[in-house]
Amino acid sequence: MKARLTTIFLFILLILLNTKSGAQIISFSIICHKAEINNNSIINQSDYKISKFKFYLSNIRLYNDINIIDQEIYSYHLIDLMDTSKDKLIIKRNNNLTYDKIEFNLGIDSTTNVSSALEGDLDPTNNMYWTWQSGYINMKFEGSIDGGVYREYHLGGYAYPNNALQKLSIKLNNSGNTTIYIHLDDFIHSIPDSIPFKLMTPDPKAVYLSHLFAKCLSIEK
Amino acid sequence: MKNKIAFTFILVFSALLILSLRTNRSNKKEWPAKIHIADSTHIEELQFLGKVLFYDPVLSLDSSTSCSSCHSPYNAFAHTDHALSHGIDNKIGFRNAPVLFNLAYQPYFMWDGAINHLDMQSLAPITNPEEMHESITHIVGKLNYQKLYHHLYYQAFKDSSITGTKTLKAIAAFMASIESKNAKFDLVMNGQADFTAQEKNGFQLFSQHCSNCHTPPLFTNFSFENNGLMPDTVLKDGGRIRQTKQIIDSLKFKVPTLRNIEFTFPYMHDGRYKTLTEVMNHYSTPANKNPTLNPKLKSVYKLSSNEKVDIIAFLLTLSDKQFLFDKRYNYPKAQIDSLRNINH
Repeated sequence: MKARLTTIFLFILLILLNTKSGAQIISFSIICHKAEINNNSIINQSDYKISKFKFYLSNIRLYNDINIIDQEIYSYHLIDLMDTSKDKLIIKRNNNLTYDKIEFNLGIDSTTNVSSALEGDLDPTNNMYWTWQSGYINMKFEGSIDGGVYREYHLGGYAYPNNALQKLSIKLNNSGNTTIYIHLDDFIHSIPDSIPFKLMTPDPKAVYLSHLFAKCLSIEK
Repeated sequence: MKNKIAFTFILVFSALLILSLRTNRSNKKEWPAKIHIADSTHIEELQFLGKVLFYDPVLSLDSSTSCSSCHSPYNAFAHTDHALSHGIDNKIGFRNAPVLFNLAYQPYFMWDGAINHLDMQSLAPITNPEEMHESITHIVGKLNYQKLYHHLYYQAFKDSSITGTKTLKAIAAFMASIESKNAKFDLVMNGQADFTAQEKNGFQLFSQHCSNCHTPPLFTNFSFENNGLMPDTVLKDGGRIRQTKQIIDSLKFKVPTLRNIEFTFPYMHDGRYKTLTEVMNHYSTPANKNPTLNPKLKSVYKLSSNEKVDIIAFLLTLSDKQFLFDKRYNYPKAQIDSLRNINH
């Protein structure tokens, strides 16, 4: 009888563990020349100066092979790499099934861009909304690396033909908490000379830079 | 007997004719559905908060300039007699401050359609360095110091916390509440008044030459058009192309409403014309025939002097004095003074 009760108890515990919901943490870290650089070290080094580095993530989906096993609908996360309390993506999990791929949008979709004033990470007080025209800034970078020129890129745009939203799909090694590295040197050094050092308007150049930036996100150091 | 039948027939026919004419008239006054409807169960409180914010210079960097500085209720919420908007530190803006009424029907805002939602509209003048030069973040900080605003935000949102989003929604709710629909034109369309012979002729000419873009009852079709103005060599304003980066949008500006035009001079996006006569003269001979000119203006109809006067006579029937002096839109000084005493 005791053994039977123990078996039932263990069985129920197993079910509870399998259906337990929680949160998954995806951290973001800046990489320059294969070295991970924390925010303070960037600011303090003479060759590096980064004052703003923020971007939006939305429509997050977790996959196991080709199957969506968890997703956040109408979710919008503002990642601020200059603020250690906001440089992580915390995904609310509805199950604990394992996943091997994450997909998300880098930026804000067009429907949200033409919607009302919104709260939370989409509140215009986050300074990620253009004011001279309507629309969210998908990615904001202000700084310089390797002693180079100081650049100010406010990338965004939702209307055809200058929709700067990027869709990313990243294969993961495991389904635990993980880190996505932003290869900033790859991004900056791949920018052609034809792109100005200040770009703050939705246009084809912003779409091109958004594409370059999306290519610099990886789980590889 | 025959006479009786004929009389009855004439009577019924006349009644049907009158009914038919009335129906035609009422068709002309049908308004489209509103695009902006504030999502709130406390709409009056939300509009009241928005009105207080609209008149409060705290929205500008040096607390000197409010929305009403360039959008006066006595001038149909325009900046009459000023060609370009004025800002803090005597700065002069880039464009003529537009009227603010019937905004709930508008799909986009600003002369070049830069703003896609009424909730977000006030951000543009608030942050423009030539206008109020303030940030919404800083405004929230300033409002947080005032007990009055915590009270008003609680009334509007049932939550006294002040956020940028709430602030924008409140201002938008007030702006959406401003309506002008009681001009003589509306009375005529409702069968409650009649045009004079001159106004009637002006209306016919207007319907023939102007209403394609300035379509009743809003007197705009919200399209972007190049109306043949020579570009200002100082302002160098390309209009809609600033937003779309498409060459086909060069020198196009949003068609403005003509309601209350009597009180909203000067005219055009850069306020270059002080009188309606100058506007009429422009449309008789548009100067700039570049490729994006509205096709209807490529072959100009030369209005005679009398025809111009008749059209202007009709345009004056778009003045809505009930709206212009509607106290509901004025700064609620007595209520605010009272609330400040309570919340002191």
